[in-house]
Amino acid sequence: MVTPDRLKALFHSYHQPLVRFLTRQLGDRDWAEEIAQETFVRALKQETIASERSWIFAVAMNLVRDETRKDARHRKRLELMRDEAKAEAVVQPAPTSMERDEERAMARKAVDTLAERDRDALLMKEEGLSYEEIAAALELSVGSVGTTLSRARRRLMEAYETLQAEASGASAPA
Amino acid sequence: MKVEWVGPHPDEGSIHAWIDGEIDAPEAALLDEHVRGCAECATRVAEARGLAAGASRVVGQLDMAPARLMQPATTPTLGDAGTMWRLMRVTPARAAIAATIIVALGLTLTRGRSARESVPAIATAPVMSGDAMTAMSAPKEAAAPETDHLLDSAISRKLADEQPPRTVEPARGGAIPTQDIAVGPGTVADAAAAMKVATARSSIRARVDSATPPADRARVGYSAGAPAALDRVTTAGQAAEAAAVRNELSGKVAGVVVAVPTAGQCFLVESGTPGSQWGTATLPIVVAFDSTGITARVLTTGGADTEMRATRVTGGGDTLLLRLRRIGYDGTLALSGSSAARSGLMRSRQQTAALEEVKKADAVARETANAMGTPVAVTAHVVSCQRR
Repeated sequence: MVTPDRLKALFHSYHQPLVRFLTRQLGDRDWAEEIAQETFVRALKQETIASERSWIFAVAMNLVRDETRKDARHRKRLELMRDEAKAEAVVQPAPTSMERDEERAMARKAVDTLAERDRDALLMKEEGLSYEEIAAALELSVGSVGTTLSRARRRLMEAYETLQAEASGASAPA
Repeated sequence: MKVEWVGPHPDEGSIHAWIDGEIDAPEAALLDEHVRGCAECATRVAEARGLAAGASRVVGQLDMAPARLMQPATTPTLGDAGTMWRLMRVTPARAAIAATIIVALGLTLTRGRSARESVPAIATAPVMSGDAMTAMSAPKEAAAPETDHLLDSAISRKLADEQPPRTVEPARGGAIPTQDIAVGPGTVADAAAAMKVATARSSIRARVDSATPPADRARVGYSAGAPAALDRVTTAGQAAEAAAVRNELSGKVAGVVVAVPTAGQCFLVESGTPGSQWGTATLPIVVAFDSTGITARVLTTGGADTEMRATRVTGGGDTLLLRLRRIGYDGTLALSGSSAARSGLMRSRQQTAALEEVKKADAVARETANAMGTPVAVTAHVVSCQRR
């Protein structure tokens, strides 16, 4: 079993990046915290962990998948409703934070257009995982990580630019 | 990794692997040589760098508002609030009842107080029907005026909490794309219940969002402002130039970097400003990368470990950008120049621990517009280091 000291070290090293990674995945901080917690609980039960970072991200990914499979549509809808509710709320924050909210919503939509594996690889890369670690976590060959990332980046930017064009088209004066 | 390079040109995956610094040295040299002589590939490399930087920026935007929520242990108030809403199973209906009670109580106290203030003689007579109300209002009045402010703000805060769910509810009906949803009545009920919790939670966040915009902005700015900051830092090269743009950089260095090989390398980071610190580590420091070239320990020049850790931020270009990894601290270290000697900017600050402190920090941030800490011009050299 992983010792409490080791777990503490794991938690220190990986909790913050993992929660950020999961929040980016899920768009929900509380949910991300829950999954991160469950991930560390599972780490505690492990005999040994060979490649810590890969292991932790892979377990978290699987937990996300299990949960999302359960209620993917449900969550998605709630997220959508929440975003729209926020957008339509009468009490609006200052303009700067409105812009920020728009940008974030746009980024969220763009990221959501990516295929699951592409998105996972990209978000792991953004957390500083190496190709080797990404390959281990996603059970890919190291050689295909570059291809996966290039596709993810290209599609993300295409989706984002399309959304931006739509937004500026919609808000342009007639 | 090895490049799988079939055909006359490297494939896109290899190019991305290359700009990510993931290609082994001999193959990387081959690729470099090919790209130098191939205009088409040079364009593809430039495009790949653009895509990588753009994707980093977009991913960073996901953190924008909730980034404030991303601080570990720094916003226990928010985390607790979310959990509390759930634990208490607060529904809008229950919240409305609670709000009504609070408003009634508030009115009672206010009326009781104003009645007493305008006509002292009436003060002893119960303004509302129950003696209990009078009894409750008496101690509040005794502690005036501070208590009154507290009470007023508590009531108004409570009301503010309740407002967003109510204002958004009518709009919600139209917004639900019902045709997309397959469902039995059970699902609808679940969705509605979860929605209520989500709305309540978002209202708390919305309140904090609007309460602390600059601190929030400053804290997330380092990823949001990434591309502009990168360009500047990349081309700066000199500490003097870096210093010239620091006002624009303020609080938003980052989000990027590195075709620079860092695995196993050590950088001695020095500053002309005596007593400069990165987190709690006082300069000069040695940033010692491990074999991944991504994570690094921060050592003293004597080789002693400090509590600081750093992570190389991913991306492309010849700027070396590090983020301080230490719970309770934020910080960045941007080094430009492609030779062994680099110069750049370093920032760090201690994160504030509670909402009240965030608000105070916010006030400070308004004045300084620089919540990531004062930039310090630094120079860095590659030094040899013995792994201990």
